[in-house]
Amino acid sequence: MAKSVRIPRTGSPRRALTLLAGAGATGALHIGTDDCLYLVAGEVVFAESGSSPSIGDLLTASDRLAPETWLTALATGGAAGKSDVRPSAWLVQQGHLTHGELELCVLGAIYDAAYFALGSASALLRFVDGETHGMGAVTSIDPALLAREAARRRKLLDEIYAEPGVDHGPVIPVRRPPVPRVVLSALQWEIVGQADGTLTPVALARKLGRAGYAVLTEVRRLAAAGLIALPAGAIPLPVQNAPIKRPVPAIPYTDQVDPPAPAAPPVAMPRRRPPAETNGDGALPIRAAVPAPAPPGSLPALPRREPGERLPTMTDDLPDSAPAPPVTADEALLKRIRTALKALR
Amino acid sequence: MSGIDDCLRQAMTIPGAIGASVVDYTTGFALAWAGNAPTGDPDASAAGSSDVIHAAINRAPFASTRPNDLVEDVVITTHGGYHLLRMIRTDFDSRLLLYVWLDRHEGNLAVAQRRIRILADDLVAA
Repeated sequence: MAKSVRIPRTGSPRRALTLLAGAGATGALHIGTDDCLYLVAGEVVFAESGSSPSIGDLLTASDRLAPETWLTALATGGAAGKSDVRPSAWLVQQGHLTHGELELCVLGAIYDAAYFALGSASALLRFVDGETHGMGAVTSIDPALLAREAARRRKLLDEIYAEPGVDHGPVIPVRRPPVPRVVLSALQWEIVGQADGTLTPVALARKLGRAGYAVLTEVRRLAAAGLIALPAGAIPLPVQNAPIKRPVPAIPYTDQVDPPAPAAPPVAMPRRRPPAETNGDGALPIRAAVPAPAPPGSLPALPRREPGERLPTMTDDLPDSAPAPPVTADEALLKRIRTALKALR
Repeated sequence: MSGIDDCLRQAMTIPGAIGASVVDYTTGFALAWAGNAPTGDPDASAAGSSDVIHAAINRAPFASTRPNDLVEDVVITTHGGYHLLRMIRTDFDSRLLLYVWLDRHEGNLAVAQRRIRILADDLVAA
């Protein structure tokens, strides 16, 4: 049997849920004025929120059930007060829903409601021992998992666009989109189509029969794309149409010019410095080994050699007027090319 | 009259099945799972399969401009396995998929694809 557990009158809904789950409680945790989590033996079996569509909203707004069928189902379970024929069971028995549909719908609704119910850091709390939901238990969820998922969903929203203000204010589509071409998802289309300038995302979700959280994600995306008005003080995203991040070049570009070798002619183009760090064995990227082309005329052409002729010695055969070639620089260059070629093998 | 657990249990009887889950692809969350998940983490595989489905349904070549020509499934073939992602279409609002991971040598893709289609349809069949 469940131990009795005391929860504070005001506090964190998450902590209260953890306490109740730990005690294996059965009853209803009322959070604020609109939200409620139903527990059976410490597991969450149902959740309702004033901010998310109920399963009735979901089933009737989509025409899955006629409103009369839904009302009949509620009357059947509630009025008779028989715990064995709950509205949920009745809907399946009468063939209005399959068991799978009911489970999926209830699971979706619980996670959706829990996102809103567990969202506030502090709220008015009231636990009614033994209270159960009229629908009857269809499924059960580990409270820790439910709380973790609610927190994760909050993070996902902020990853889209970290401006929680858009969740609460009315959705107002901008008169002129900030881009010449707009692509909307089906749900975004529905939202923009129904937004009358007064409806909040939560009210839109109810009206459309769409999950509250799904509407929030699309509203955040619309806000990020600059397609709906932002609340006062919100910072619009700077780059809307460049979601692709360009890779940062591996070799940093610098304006610094290598100090010229003592005898070398001045090099006009800034030369890239080889990166300070190498990949272990001293190999450099091959691009760093390619010298900047010398400006034309700065170095006299070497005399052409006939095939078979002896190589001229560097110092003797060059014209006296020409500056000595930058031997040291060339040697360094050749070494670098050799190292780079070795690294390629 | 099959529920989620039934559906997953039957998915696990498909020859070569290693794991199966029902994933909410709005958030990349596994509502229920059976068997094993790649990398041993059902949350990671749910997030991964959701990303794949998002890529398929939001990209122009697959989100066809013809009305109601919707993505039904996505198959990823690896050296050792098949990953089958089947959309579960409910009349009410949901974004769900049935994900089944099969061993490539024991599984038969055509058979599995057919079984999974039937399972996903039966789960929500009116």
